[in-house]
Amino acid sequence: MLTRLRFKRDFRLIVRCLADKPSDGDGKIPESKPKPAEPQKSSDNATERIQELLKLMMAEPKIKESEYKDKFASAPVIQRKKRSDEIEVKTEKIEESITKAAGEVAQALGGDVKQTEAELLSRVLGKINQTSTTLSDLLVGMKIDRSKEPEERQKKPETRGQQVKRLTSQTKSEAQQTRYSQRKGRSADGEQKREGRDERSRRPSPLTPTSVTTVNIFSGEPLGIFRAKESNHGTKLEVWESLQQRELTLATSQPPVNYFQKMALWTEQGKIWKFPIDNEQGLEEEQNVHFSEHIFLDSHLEGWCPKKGPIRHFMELVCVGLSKNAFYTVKEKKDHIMWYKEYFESKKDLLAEVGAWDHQSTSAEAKQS
Amino acid sequence: MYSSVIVPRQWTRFTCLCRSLTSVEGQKLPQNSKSSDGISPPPRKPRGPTDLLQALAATVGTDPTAAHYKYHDDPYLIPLSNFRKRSYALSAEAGRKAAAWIRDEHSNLFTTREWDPPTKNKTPYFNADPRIEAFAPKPIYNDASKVTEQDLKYTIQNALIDDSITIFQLLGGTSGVSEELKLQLLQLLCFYNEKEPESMEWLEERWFAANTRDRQAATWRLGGLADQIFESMDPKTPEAYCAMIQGMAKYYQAERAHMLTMEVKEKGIPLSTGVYNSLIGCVGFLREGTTLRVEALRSLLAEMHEQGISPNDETLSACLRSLSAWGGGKILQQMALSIVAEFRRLDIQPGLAAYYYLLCLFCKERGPRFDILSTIINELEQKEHLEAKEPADTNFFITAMGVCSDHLQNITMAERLHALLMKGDNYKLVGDAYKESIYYRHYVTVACRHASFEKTLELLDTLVPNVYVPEPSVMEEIIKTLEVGGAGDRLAQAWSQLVVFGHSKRARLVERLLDAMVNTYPGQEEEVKSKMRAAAADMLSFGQMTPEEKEMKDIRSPVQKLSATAVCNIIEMCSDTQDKADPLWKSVEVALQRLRKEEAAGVPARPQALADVAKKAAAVGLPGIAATAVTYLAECGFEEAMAASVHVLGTMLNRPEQEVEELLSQGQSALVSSLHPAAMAVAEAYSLAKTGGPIIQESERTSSSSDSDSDSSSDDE
Repeated sequence: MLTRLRFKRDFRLIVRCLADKPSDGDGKIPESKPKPAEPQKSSDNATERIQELLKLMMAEPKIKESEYKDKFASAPVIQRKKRSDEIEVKTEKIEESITKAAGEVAQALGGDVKQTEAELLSRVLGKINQTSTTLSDLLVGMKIDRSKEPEERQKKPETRGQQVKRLTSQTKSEAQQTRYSQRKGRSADGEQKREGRDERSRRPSPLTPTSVTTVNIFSGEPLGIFRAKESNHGTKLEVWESLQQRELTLATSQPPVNYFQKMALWTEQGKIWKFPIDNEQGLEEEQNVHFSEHIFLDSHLEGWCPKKGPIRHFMELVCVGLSKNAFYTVKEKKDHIMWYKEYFESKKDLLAEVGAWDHQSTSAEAKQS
Repeated sequence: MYSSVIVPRQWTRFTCLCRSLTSVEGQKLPQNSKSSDGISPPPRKPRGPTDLLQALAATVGTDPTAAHYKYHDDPYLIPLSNFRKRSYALSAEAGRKAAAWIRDEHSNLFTTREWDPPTKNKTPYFNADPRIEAFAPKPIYNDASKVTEQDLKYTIQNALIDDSITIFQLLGGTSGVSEELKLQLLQLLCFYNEKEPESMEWLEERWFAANTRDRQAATWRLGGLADQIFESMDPKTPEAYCAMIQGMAKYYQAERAHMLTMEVKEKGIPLSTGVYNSLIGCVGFLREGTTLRVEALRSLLAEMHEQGISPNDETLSACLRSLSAWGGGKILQQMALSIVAEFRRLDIQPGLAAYYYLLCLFCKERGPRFDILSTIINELEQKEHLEAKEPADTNFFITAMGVCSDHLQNITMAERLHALLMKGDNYKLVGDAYKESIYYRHYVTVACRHASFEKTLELLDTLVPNVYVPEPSVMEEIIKTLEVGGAGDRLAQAWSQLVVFGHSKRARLVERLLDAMVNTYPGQEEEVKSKMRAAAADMLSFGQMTPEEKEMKDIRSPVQKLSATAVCNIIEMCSDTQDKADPLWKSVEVALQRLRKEEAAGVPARPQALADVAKKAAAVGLPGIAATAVTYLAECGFEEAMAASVHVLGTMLNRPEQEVEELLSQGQSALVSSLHPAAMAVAEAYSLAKTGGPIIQESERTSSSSDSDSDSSSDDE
């Protein structure tokens, strides 16, 4: 328990030291296991150190690799990292086999064997470096990436305090400065406020007054192609034009904004009466028919109906009824009367027998007229 | 004696009455009548069916503080956010559509006499006389229906492409239809490229359908029905050629259109202005490179003149459209100016569409800034009213306002433009809901940036929320303006607007608003301050409701967390009270808990504010809150924690700070027994801050434990 605590305190101290240099790439590794790169820690710049490390790797890749693995074996174990390590090993194996295969192919092809192999490998591995063929040379760049990555990942579970330090140290100074200065300006009297505002409104358009060129759109030189003469628009397409008109009304139509507009819209769609109200609207068929033709229907009886008697009486009643009907057209009324005519004529014999149809009188009538 | 005087007077009155009666009733008074008493009634004016209604409608002014007319039906459900506006209007439209669907599907219910005796056949009968075409069921055409050329005519007139194609096939295709109808159908097919156009009937749908710009690509349907009909027409009339060329050119099948034109010219068939207009519109597809294209355009115009065909205003806008589509640059701009001048010489004035293309050509996002808009506005202001000539006219206002906002950054120009739009019935040129919204986005942005504060407020009061609901980006702009203007009550109001407009879950916006509120807070009056405090507390509780809802409803999209800075801002504002019993302290406590539980992203930008809050809380007599604040500061590793904890402890124990420091330098174990739990927590925070950032386990442990059981942490040392 006690050791753990001391350990913790140590840890805290170290972490604090580290936190002072936020971009320090080493994270917490030195504490868990002393590392060969430790003495370099005193060097002022982290990037410099990384570069030195890189140089080291480039110079003697073999040693670096073993050391690299060594470090991994003893580093604080994190599940995810281990997995990534496995993948790396696997890929390395694949790369080795690819290199081997490429070498064999190059041998088979003959000629400049090294060049061919390099080309093949660069194809596969996407390396630009075409002359060197050793695997480690090809993989040097990758290794550097890897060595950096776990370090960064280790840094992740840092404490909130460290996070804060790191985050704020970058932004705090300037952010606070601006905010406080803003605040100062605002809390001061209104004139300063105005000023601040003016500054702000000027800021997005620093060039406004000077750089805008006013162009008169009518200042151009005419092309001189056309000469004014009587207009001739050539062939006319009626449907096309009506469709163009339709598109135009569509483009400019809007939902009505008050009831009158709504009514106007409905009127245009033919849903309500047109103003001024005309109760014969839409009755175009009867437009030119005089009202007397609707009312005085007796003339249709002339020529076939007996002058007197029950049939005449009946037909006159029919005419009165029809003359009051507002829903039939004149033609329909006439057809109605003619239907009775045909009916009575088909029953002529019976009617004559009864005495209701005075055959002679009607025929005489017909002759007279 | 008197009676003789009275009678003539009565008589004139009577004649006067008769005359007025006849003029009212029959309106048949002869126009040149000059009556003896010098009264001459004005001649009758013929009026259209909607003239009266339009005159009445013109008397109803717009009330920007009221919701749009279409939302009046239910005053309890007036929509205030863009989403709701859209869905309400479309729901109403959907109801109308459903009714129309029933009517069409069950048309027999509306076209037969159901009350006929059962023995009789049901006869076709329309219940209304005259028959109202708009309410009658729309005919549905399928393979079984018997159709005549009359039906085809009807469908062509109503631009029902799919139906007309069905009828055409039913009538026997190319051989069964007269030449005249074939030509009409060909025009219809060419105009719409065999695609069903939008219906005229559903206004809301069109209004809310964000029309994407038509693609500048060859979409002409090759070998379609239009081609077939054209092939089958034996003596190919000039009209057929014209329709075909215009159709191809309209849908950018430039090469074929061009070839067909060559063929037609060889045969000596007269072309039309429309054909040349459409050819001009797609001339850029034939050539590559600016100079070649300009050359081609020039030669096309010359050819037009040779053929003796005179240009119209559409020719002008077609030329400018092509030029604007080819990019920018000196050559094209010069060419555009020459074309405008050329047409002006022919007495053809550029329309709104032409101006729109000019704006596109001159006012590029990057590049030199040209002010052609002032000339255009001058020109347009002189006109009595603006007339829409082509659909592209509706692009003018939105583009011009965009130029005012981004390119020229000129508020006076924007105001003039807006006045122009509001004049007469020019508002119809705003296009659709999408364009309207963009228009106002530009307008509000430019006003926020460049107008005086009072004017901006006035504008916002008129537009928001009934005419326009600001998008998040515009809202940010508005908040910025309010912040600079120092309008605290407006900022407090802005929060309720955010909620109403549905932006309240956008953490960035809320954070921005909180920043603005904190910055403007100090200089406000007490009343405004209390409003702002209430708003801040509301923000906190609004944010807090969400996790519970999330548990219940299983919300899929993750809710954005407020940043710690924002929460800190809330705490700062809420803690500005001297009253211990103020319910706002509760909010402060809740906010602190959220900070400690890491429910807020990041860390506070100004730990000093929290330290001040801790001191204030201690002074007021709320040691729990003070302890929490200090502990949080210590956990985060802020340097302010130490000073703050000393100060707070000093206030709590009512002792000078040196004494407290001495006390703290003793072992913690000595303190445990003598101190109040809250004070103990502060002391612990002090030690935490002193020794540096806590290790992982420790931070986890302390953050999970609330301050009530914090005395149990003493076993650490």
